[in-house]
Amino acid sequence: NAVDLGAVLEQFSLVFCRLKFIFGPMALHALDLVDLRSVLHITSPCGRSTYQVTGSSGKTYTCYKSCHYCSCPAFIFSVLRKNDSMLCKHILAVYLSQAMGACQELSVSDQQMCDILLAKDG
Amino acid sequence: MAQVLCRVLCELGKHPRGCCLQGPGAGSPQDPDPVRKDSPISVQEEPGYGPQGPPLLLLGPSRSGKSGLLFMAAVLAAEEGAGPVIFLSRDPLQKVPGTGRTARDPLTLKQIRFLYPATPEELLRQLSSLHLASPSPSFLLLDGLERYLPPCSGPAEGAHISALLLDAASHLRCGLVVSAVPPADGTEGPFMAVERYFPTRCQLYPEMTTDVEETAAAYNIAFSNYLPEWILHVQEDGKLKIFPIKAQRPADT
Repeated sequence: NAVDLGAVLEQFSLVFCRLKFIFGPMALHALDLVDLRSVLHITSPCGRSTYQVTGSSGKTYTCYKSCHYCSCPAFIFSVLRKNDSMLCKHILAVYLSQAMGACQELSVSDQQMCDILLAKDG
Repeated sequence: MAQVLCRVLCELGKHPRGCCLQGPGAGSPQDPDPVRKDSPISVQEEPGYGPQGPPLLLLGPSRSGKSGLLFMAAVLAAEEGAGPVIFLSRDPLQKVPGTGRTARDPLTLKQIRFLYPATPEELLRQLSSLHLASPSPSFLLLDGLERYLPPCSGPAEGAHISALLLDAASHLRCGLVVSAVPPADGTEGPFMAVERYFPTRCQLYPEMTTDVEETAAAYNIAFSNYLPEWILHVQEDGKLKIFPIKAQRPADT
């Protein structure tokens, strides 16, 4: 009903403001990726798992599960070199997709997982 | 503090020719339990990590005994019998490091699997396929990370290797210790990225004030708080001796 929708929108607006306050314009770019269902959660039979995010350019980047690492150029430049950001939009999109249950799921073989973890840009 | 390295230091401190851990409750050569509850070095499990503690980066100059300490950690992990131990290094070990403490059972060494990836790409390939190993490794050690990170490489290479090491150790729920020679000219280059992945670090740096035998070099051992806690003597033949600083320099206590 209208009252509930208003409350939800208000809540969303508050969360978005907080995200934007912490992450700046990156928050919007990350939410775009979530909207496009760009985050792929990949698992293999042995239990190893990782994430692949399709960026706005169409390239796919690998984000590891246990620590902040993304194979995209922005992570290398802004996070590692300039140290002016905690993470890139792809890692933020992984966090947001996890929280919103918006990850796509993919099962691969243990052997295929090796190639994905090597994180050669696709 | 990293539990596994503490156990190594305690074991080496028990060596009859080295100075044993002094004080109430400290281990002694006759003491079967190297770390008792009232020992000056307490080895407690840190929440969120297994008995081996958090991943550890061991930093120190060349020939400061890092390989010996890592090998000792591998022997101790193998003796626990929880599974194979993976020891990664770019260059094959010419001989078993003479740490001053050998494996209790020679068959223990068979539990240590030595892998010598020659290039960073080969190292990444090994790390990305560790989940295929059966039985699952119980401990992961990388000796000489700097040999995979030439000065011409950038932080991306340092970050990729570090992150894949952590991801593999996290998946395998195993201990991880990495040794490296830090760059002499500050924190630029690939190492800038490595250190951010390893908040728990142990640093070896030359000790200038202690009298050492002519054949030995001395290094302070300090964990993340930069206060040296032990002194390590490295003899020319690679044998290691550990001296707790309180026992070495009573005036400091």
